[in-house]
Amino acid sequence: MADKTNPVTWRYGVELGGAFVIYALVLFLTIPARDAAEPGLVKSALALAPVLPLILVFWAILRQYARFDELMKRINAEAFALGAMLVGWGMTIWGFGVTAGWPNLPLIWVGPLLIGAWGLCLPIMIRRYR
Amino acid sequence: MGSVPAHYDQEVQIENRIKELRKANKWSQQDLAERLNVSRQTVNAIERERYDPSLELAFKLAAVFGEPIETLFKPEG
Repeated sequence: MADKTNPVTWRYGVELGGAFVIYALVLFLTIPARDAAEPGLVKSALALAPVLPLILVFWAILRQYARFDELMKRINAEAFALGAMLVGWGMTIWGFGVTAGWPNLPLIWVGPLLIGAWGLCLPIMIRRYR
Repeated sequence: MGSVPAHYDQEVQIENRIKELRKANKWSQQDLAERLNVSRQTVNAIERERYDPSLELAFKLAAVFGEPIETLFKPEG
């Protein structure tokens, strides 16, 4: 039986990896066209095109979550909650800094920061149940 | 209707006999995990009383060991 606590199962790797390959392809194909397009609907559509493969990324993550057993679901939920809190408060604190002249953080980094914080908090939560 | 014992007002630690019953059956944690369709880590966390299983999993444990659920878990103290 596959180890259900291991987040890097083969199926997850294929689904997530495939979604990221499509995401990279869409970025590669749309960025030059987006930059060349005049401001308007077409430019917006090209700019938002990477959202479609990102939905595949979320789908892969949700499918992996559904495969976890109840303890791993709890651990992941707690890790995500802690990570989201850290990112949320971190961005708020950064916002105060912006009023003092710090550079603005592009919103495009919120998603990757949330995923990264989730990953960093995971070992902390796993240790709590050992 | 019975009243709730006074100590239930506080946080209740739950003791269990999972490790004892698993060893009596000569099963490894992995054997038990496969019977329950959970990970070995989950079995370990339950045995070490770091994690209280859901009612569903508790009933599965009772079924796997062939024991009434109330003999598997009891409030500490």
